[in-house]
Amino acid sequence: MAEVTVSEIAAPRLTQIAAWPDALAEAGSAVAALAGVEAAPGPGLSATGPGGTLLRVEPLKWWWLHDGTAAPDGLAVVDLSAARVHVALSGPGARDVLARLVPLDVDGMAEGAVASTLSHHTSVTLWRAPEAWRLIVPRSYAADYRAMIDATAATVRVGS
Amino acid sequence: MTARRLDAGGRIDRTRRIRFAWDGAEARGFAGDTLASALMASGHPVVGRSFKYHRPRGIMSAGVEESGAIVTVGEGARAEPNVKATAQELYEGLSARGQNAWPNVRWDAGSVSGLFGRFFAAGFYYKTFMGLPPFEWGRGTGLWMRYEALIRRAAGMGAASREPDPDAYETAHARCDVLVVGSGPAGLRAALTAAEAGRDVILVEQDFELGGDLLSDPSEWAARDEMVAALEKAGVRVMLRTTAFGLYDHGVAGLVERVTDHLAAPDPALPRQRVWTVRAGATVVATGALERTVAFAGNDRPGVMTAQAAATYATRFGVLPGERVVIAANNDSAYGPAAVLAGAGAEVTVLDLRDAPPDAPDGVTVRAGRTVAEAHGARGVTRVRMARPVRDGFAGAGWLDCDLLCMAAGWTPVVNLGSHRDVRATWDAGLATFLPGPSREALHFAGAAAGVWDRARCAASGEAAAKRAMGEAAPAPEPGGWERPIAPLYEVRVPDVTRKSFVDPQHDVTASDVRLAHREGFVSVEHLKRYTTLGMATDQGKVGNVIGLALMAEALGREIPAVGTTRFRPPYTPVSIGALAGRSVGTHFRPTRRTPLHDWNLAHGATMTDAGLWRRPWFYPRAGEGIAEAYVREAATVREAVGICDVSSLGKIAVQGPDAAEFLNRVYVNGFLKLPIGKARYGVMLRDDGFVMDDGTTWRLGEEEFLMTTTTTGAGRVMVWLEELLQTRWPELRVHVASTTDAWASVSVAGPRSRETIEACLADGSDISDAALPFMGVARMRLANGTEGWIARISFSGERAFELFVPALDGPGMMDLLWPEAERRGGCLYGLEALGTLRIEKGHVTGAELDGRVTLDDAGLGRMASTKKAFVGDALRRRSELERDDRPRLVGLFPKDRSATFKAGSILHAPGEAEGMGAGWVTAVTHSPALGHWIGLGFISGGAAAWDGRPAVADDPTRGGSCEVEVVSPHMFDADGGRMRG
Repeated sequence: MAEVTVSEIAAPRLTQIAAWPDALAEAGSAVAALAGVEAAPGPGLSATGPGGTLLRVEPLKWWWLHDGTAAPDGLAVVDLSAARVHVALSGPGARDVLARLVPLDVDGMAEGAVASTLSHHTSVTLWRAPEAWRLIVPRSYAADYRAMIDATAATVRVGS
Repeated sequence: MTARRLDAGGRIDRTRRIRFAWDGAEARGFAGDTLASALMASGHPVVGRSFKYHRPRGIMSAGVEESGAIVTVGEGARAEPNVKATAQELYEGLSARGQNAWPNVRWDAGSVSGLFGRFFAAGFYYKTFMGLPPFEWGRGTGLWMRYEALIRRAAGMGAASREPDPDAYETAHARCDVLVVGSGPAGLRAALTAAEAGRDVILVEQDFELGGDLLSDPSEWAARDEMVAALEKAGVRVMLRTTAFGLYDHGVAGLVERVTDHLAAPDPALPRQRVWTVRAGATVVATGALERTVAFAGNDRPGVMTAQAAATYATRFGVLPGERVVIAANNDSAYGPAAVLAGAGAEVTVLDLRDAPPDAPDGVTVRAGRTVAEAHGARGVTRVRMARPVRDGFAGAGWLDCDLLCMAAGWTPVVNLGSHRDVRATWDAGLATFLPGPSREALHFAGAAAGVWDRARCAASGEAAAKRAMGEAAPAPEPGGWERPIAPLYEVRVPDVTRKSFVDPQHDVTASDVRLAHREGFVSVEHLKRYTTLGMATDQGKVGNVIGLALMAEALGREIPAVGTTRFRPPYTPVSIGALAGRSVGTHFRPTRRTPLHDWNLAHGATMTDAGLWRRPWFYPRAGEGIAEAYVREAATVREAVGICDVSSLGKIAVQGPDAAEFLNRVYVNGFLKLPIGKARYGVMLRDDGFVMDDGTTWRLGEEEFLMTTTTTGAGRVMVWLEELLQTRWPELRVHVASTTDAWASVSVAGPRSRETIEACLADGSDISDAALPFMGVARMRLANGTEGWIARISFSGERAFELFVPALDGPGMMDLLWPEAERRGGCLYGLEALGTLRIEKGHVTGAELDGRVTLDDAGLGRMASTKKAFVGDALRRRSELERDDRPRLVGLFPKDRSATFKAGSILHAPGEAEGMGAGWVTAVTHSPALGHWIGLGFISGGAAAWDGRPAVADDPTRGGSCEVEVVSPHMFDADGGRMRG
């Protein structure tokens, strides 16, 4: 039996920024400047600064979570703010819930780690944020996927 | 068999009495009992009936290999058939019953089939159930259909419940450095060794207690308890009631955990069972070995079981299975159980086939050079006939009265999990058993599973296996461990005995069946298995495989290894489909996708339907309307005034980059390189093989920025396709694609009053006149509530129409502005059904037409294809077969009798030529408010021109119905498209 809290959090602005393969370093510098971090995070990592958080979701793509600042020109930018729902998972039972949801090595995900995977036929991005695990889910799938999370959390709360 | 509960002893908790039901009558046991031990103690020697012959069966073992005590547990929706009573943990209120018998297992009418046993030998169904000449000469299926109904009723063991499963199941993932399967002495030692070396260890045990063989030896219990405490201290993750049912690639193991099968009142939040996918760095297989029996006449009588099982019932469960015990043995391991049973008060006689057996334990009589030839007794063994070896076999050697016959004929290591991988079992003649061979994977056998028979060396074997699992060199103890060698024995036949002797009790496969298979040429082990069904029951041959191989080897005049082995496949023991499905059942079988307007639609009266994974409005019924009335009204309202339709589910893909236009130009058949900013264009894309893949409009939002729309159900496929092209075929193109389907809430506002409806909702200063926003124009827009988005003059309905895109969360607000304005103008909300009517009237294609078999020309879109540029699919669409004039082409269809109707899916053919695939098919049908009668779209050979003036028939042989139709142009309403413009 372990306590776990599941909650949908207000989605921040989410801007996807894609780089060209031959200009990855420059793009990294640009996004790092946006977030106010020393360097853009590498694959599977995140970095947080005064300008927001960068999640490196693909080899050529970052997700920038921020409060509304415009992205500079010259980058392939897509606003995905409305396209995603953010579900926070916290508490001692969070790890057990994740073990039932995703095929990832969550124990091997240190704080700040990011991974995208398939969970119950839904594309999910998992981020170990400082305050909680965060599941970032496409909006159209969110209600259905949330039902799965809740049922799984109920099991973990009871224990077995 | 006169079993009784011993006054003391066992690992049962005698302070906790448990009530359960057996065949409707109350019975009692203790916590710690299995159903089998409780039935045994309660005086139920007959607990099952065999598959074919309905012979009475008792408890034959104490484990998952059980072949006699196969019962149904649970009632109603929770009834589970074919449960091994030996593996079912007893709990308060458990309800179990016998199966494959009427009225019950004790008095079964089906036993009459035993009288006809000689006609039910292996493969009998291949030689019977044929047509009876002269009515049927081996061809035709008339009589077979009658036989089949009878066979179905007679076949099978237990009956599954037909009710929906009320329980939930779950799947989960885990990782570890070392996975140890089995918690006998080898497994416990392996787990502790790895854990104390700092490895992350998971220990899996199918039983409800750790210990394996140790649980049957009271002298080991204290040491076992210490080991368990040490495991806990070392941080080993222990999974009880969990079976490793399969090993898979890359160190993956499949486990099924029985979460609540042992609980009387489980918490409803818990799943009944949980399937784990475990990814292990290395796996130690310490699954033990199964004791073998021998084929002899009557070896399936209740009261015949393996020797170690009898000892287990006495020591672990405190039940003495019999008072006068005969143990037929050919190896040293019989003597432990002999001593245990004698110590519990039984009169024990060991018949040891060997001439020089070990010294007899106290209270045990040993008769050397003897074995058993027959077991007699109607509902349980009452006496056995001894046999002695003679030159060509065996001869009778007198009788012994008994109430329990135990078999100790050798051991078979449980190598199944290795067999799932690359481990081949090799025959060891000295031990008369199959031993696991080496593996190139991180897979290590230990203990009895590796052929180590004595307990001390089993522990050492486990330690060595753990070390090898950790990458250290650690030689394994040699297999074996008996003081005296085994005398191999697989069958005892004496000349004057013809009664059945069973090789595979679950499937009623006899020794005679194996010899019959040999006579009929089914000598390969694979044929032997399938012809006799040996090894195909729920035990997957755990009991009978070695005996069957030995008998076939004898028939062939060869040694056992020459016969070969079949390969064990997962699952090791049956796994319920519910457990494998986990939570992906019911509405969660597939994800359900909802548009941003889902709740708004429901609040405004939408009746929803499934469109792929999406829930979409189907129609918006008003009072007294069904679907037929609603969609006709909605379609008419769109044509006459204005309608609003939620189109948020359309696929949307952002295509960005300096080469975006070039990319689109290669993907679509028509040109996109020069598409102006602020314009949209309808495009069709082909597969490499020249067939249409998908269609949609693509908007140019900027010099390097496009928004591609796709069909709802094609979105994922197109996205994958675009990524494949960019990553593998044209990596030099600087293009990024991103799915933005979920980012937008989008609606179509269509009809003569659509513009004025929207204008009333826009911010001051907005201009969507025809001049400012012409047909296929795209522009930024700002709604009166401040929401910003896009507006495009695009029409799927054929009316003047606009598509409005706003960020998803702003969708309901947009609808709150639009709907009152539409309603004020006599408008309506419309759903998929009316949308279908409108597009059918116009001859606009959807996935119903573009079903993957259709070319551009078939769909009437051939003129779209550019002749000035290369595009995907261009080469192969020019294959001669795809350019034939008589290919099915898109057409419209009217019923000749305008008051008639016809169905989508009907076959089209010329009158009198209703055969084969016909000349075409109907893809979509609707009642057309614009035309006042039913219409349809479809494909017909040669198209409308080829059927001008010729009648055709729409025939539905599956559902019934036939209708003469006129073949017309697919553009059945407003053919010149004037209503969309202006």
